[in-house]
Amino acid sequence: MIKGIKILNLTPEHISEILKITEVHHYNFDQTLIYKNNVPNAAYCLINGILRIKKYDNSIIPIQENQLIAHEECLQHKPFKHELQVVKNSSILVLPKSLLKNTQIISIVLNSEMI
Amino acid sequence: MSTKITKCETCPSQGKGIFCELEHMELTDVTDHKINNSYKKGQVLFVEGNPTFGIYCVSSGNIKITQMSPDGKESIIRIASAGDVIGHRSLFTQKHYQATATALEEAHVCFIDKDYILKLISEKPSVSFNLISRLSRDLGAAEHRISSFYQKNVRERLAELLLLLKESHGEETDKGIFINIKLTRDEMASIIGTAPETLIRFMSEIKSLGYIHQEGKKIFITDEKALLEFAGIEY
Repeated sequence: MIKGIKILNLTPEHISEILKITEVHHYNFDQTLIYKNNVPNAAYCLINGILRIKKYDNSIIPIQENQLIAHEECLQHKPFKHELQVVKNSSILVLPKSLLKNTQIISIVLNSEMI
Repeated sequence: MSTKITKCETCPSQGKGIFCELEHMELTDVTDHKINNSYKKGQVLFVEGNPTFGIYCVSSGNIKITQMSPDGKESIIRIASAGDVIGHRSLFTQKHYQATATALEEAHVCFIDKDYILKLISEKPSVSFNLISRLSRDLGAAEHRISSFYQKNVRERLAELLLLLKESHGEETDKGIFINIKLTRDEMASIIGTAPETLIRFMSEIKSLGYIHQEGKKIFITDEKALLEFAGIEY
């Protein structure tokens, strides 16, 4: 549990459904996906590799595979409270705002288990 | 708590952007779909090789667009300022961004995702026209840059860069035309394809000729006509 950040556990079935309308992207470099206090450009779900939250005290919290993060902040235009980093050679499912508004995705998000 | 979305109607770059010809209702729809953020100096918007998710519209500030050579040398290919669009080429041509975008100073930028911008392009001719216009301008600038590299020496390229920065970021002052953009000597050298030491030497030469004046890192153009001649540009 990370205070102030909602994380959803997606099932493999949910991921398969999402993959019908978008695809998994590979990141070749370490980089920051969301800077602290910025509104996320998309929601992110780790498929494999390393996705992690860097907190204000520099502590690192890893995101687990199949966990969806930043969907709430992206849809509601809310600042993300920490920094989200991806480590090179990771594969991520990226869901931009237009996709998050898709009814199919909304139903998946509503039916997912909150961490 | 949600952060306030900067409306397109009140954007500091109003009149310069690709959506400026849209009607009020259409602009409201753009506002609903975009994400606006502030980036601090050095923060990266996207990295070369990243998958393309959309375009970035610069509301204020300057963003450097760079490409990395195989030996790890960074080369600045352009500087995006208020009203400019970044990432639009990759939207049509490649699956991945072809360059890295980094804030040169505090910058306000709006992100519009791929699905929405492609929908707008197909439905709104003014958006398509503005994007084509930008692509043409970028292509013209790239062609000019290639010919400069072949036809001009480093001195002339430096003078030309100063004149280009004057056009995009020049401000009239009583000391001359102030180039209001924070670029390091390394960054300026990267734009004209030379070593920082060479750039510094030629800056001193142009300064000694009285064409420019420097106050610390600030550069003022004091004799534009002479600088144009120095750059081998007819006016």
